[in-house]
Amino acid sequence: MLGNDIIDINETRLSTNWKRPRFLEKIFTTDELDIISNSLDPFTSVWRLWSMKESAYKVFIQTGGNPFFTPTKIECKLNSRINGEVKIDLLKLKTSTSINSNYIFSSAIMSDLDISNNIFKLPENRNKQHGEFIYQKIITDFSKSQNLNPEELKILKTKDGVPHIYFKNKGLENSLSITHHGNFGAYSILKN
Amino acid sequence: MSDKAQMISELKEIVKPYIQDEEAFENLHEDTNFITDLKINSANLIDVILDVEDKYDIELDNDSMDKMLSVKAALEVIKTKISEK
Repeated sequence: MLGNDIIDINETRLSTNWKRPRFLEKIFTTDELDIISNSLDPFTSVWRLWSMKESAYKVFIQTGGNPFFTPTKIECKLNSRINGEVKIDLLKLKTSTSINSNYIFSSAIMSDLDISNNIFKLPENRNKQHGEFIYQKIITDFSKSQNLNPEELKILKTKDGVPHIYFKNKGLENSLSITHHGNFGAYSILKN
Repeated sequence: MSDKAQMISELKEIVKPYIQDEEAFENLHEDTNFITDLKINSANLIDVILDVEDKYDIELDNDSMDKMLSVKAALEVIKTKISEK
C-alpha cells in the first residue's frame, strides 16, 4: 500500500497563510513545531511535513483505518532531506520527499516496496477535468508498460476514495495513489 | 430566521473563501460535506476550523475537529461547544 501528496508551491503561497495564529499548532506536534522553528526555510519545512502527513494518511485509509481530521495524531520524523518516518496509530510508514521551486511531493509506503512516482504539469484552465486527465494518463502509461488494451482498463474509486485499476472489470492488485494541487499532478504505483 | 437557518448562513459565510465547487456551495444544505462536495482542501479546512473558533469564541479540540466534516456535524459541534461555555 502506498500514498502520495503533491503541493504546488505557488498555489499554496496564494491560498494558505501558514503564519496565521494557531494554524501550525492545529497541525503539528511539539517535536514538529521544533523542526519548523529551527528551520532555515520554515515555509518548506511546514509543507514538507504536511505532505508527509497527507501521504501517510492515504495509506492509513487504505488499511481500513477510520477517517479522521486531527493532523496532530500523525507524527513525523525527518531522517534526511529526502527520507522520513510517519506514525499513525499503530501504523509506521517510510516517506520520501522531493522538493524543487515548483512543488513538494511526498510518498509513503509500509515497507521497502518498489514504487514508481510520476509527476507532471496539468493542462491549464481545465480545473474541473484534472481528475479525468490524470486517470487517462495512468491508463495510457499502464497499458504501455503492461502491454494491455487501454480500452479495457479503467480506474474506479472505493467509497473511501481509494483508486484502483480495473482490467476487463476485474480489480488489479497494483496499489495506486493519485494527487493533484494547483498546476501539478502525480500518481504513484507499485512496481510489479 | 430560525437559529439553525441563521447558523447555516453564518457557516456558509465562513467557508465561502475556501470552496472550490460553486454549485455545491450555492446548494449548500445540512448534508453537504466540506471536502467531497465543496472541495475545500485540507489545509483550508484548518482555516475553517480557526474561523469557527474566532466567530463563536470556542476552542475545537481534537475530537471536535474530527467531526467537522459536514455542515450538520459542524453545527452540532458548535452548539455543544457554545453550551459548554
